[in-house]
Amino acid sequence: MEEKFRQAIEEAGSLADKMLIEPQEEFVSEFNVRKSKLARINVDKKWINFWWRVNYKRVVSMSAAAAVITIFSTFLLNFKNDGFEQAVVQNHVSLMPATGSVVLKLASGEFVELDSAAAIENKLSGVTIDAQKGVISYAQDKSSKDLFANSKVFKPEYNELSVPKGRSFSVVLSDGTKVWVNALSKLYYPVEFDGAERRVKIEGEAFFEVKKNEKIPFVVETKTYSVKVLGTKFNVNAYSEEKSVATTLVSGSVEIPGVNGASVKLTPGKQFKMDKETKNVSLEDVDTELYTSWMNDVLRIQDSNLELILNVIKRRYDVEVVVQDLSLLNEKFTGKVPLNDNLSVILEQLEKVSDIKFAIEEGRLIVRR
Amino acid sequence: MFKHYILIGEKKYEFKEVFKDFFASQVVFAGKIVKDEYIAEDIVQDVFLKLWKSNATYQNEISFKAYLYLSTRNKCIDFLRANKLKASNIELAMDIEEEANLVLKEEAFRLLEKAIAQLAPQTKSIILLSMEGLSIQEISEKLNISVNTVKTLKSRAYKTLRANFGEIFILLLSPFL
Repeated sequence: MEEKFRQAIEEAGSLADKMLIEPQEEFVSEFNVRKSKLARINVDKKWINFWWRVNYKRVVSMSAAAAVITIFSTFLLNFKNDGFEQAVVQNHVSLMPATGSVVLKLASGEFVELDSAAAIENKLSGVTIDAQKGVISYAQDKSSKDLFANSKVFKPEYNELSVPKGRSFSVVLSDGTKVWVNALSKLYYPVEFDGAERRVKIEGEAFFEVKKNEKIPFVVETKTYSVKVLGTKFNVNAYSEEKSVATTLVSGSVEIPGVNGASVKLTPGKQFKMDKETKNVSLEDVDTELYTSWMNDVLRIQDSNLELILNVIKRRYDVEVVVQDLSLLNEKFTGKVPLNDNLSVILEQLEKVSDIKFAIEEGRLIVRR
Repeated sequence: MFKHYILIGEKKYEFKEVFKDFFASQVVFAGKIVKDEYIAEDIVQDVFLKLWKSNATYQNEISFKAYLYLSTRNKCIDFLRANKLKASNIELAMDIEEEANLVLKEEAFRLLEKAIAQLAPQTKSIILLSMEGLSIQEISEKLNISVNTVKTLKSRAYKTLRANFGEIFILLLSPFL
């Protein structure tokens, strides 16, 4: 039996070669069936499960520091460990998330700081702001349209919401669609939707919970491509420093029209990415929570490299990042860290699970081995 | 302290990498025998658990793969025996030639898929389309790139892929020394 199996394995290479050079229908269809089976198995998740299964007892029996666990070349972070967070603050200069103002640019060209909420509510009827919760909402009933029309400052045209470093903010548009806008991002939208489609533009990152209306599609425009939706929840990451623009679908369905002529339809759990330069596209199954945790001011990562983490830090904290050894950017981490706490909470945890050292000097975050 | 390795020949492979390389493939293989993907997954989890605990060393890659496929196969048979309702599947699983053929195909698919996955995105689409039987002309139209580009990328990709199959003894992942 074993001999038969050994033989089969030895022959596999030449069969693979044959399938490539003279593809036969039978193998091609089987190859495709197999591919769809593989797509249903999330190996990263299975690995985590397996890892816990074999290491659970050791982890639990370890001391408090065990909350941070090295997973092979990857690292697992866990910030819900009290003894740990305290040790953190002593070693690093305290640095809380940046606190710029969220600014709304009105159609008139006038800028209004949303933190002084009272001011704007006076100017714009039909608009309510809860700065503490970070929400601005536009009235959804018809009568408010008249109020808008009568308002002196305001014309039913476009507003632009700019969220600074260190913040996130959400807006309820006039159709009831809710948009969470991440740090260092801009949302450009009409105060009142009219016409055949509901079109908004995003720079940076936002999560959309689109109010269903099959007659009037909702379109999100980025500099690289647009996303067309009927009613759904999804995340768009179009930060200028990222190599590609990623759309992650949580529920419902969205369409990316006109990519190389054909449009691409996403189903829940899929992530569509387009490289900004090469325009190469990819469609993958992802754990959507990894791409939406920022709404709760948490960074959740799985096998992500340090570069991604540093990019997020740059958007949340007022620091310049200096990396002394670029190879460090490829170090991989798994776990979650808070984004609304002292920066040192993140740094100390990264240090605990890797050989990387962080120091904050004169507003610069130095990363070295 | 949490690192775990598998020794194959003179080389040391991280368990995690081996798991990620073979897990899904073994589930597909087991699924062909037990005809149920969820049961197949449980079975393969157990196979890896046994592998983790055994700490064995393997003479070479072939021995390791043969051990892996055989363990999965044996666990599948155990399951089918315990589950007499599925008697017809036992018959299928008992045919040695049939089983060896499943191993051959799964391993070939795995190699092919892994080698293709390592290609650049555009080259990858060219190879996948030509495997589906599309001509160079058709591929060029579909992907909106010139016929010459398709030709060049295709022949370059074939070279890379065949070189990979030539080194079939290598697991196609880098050993952790």
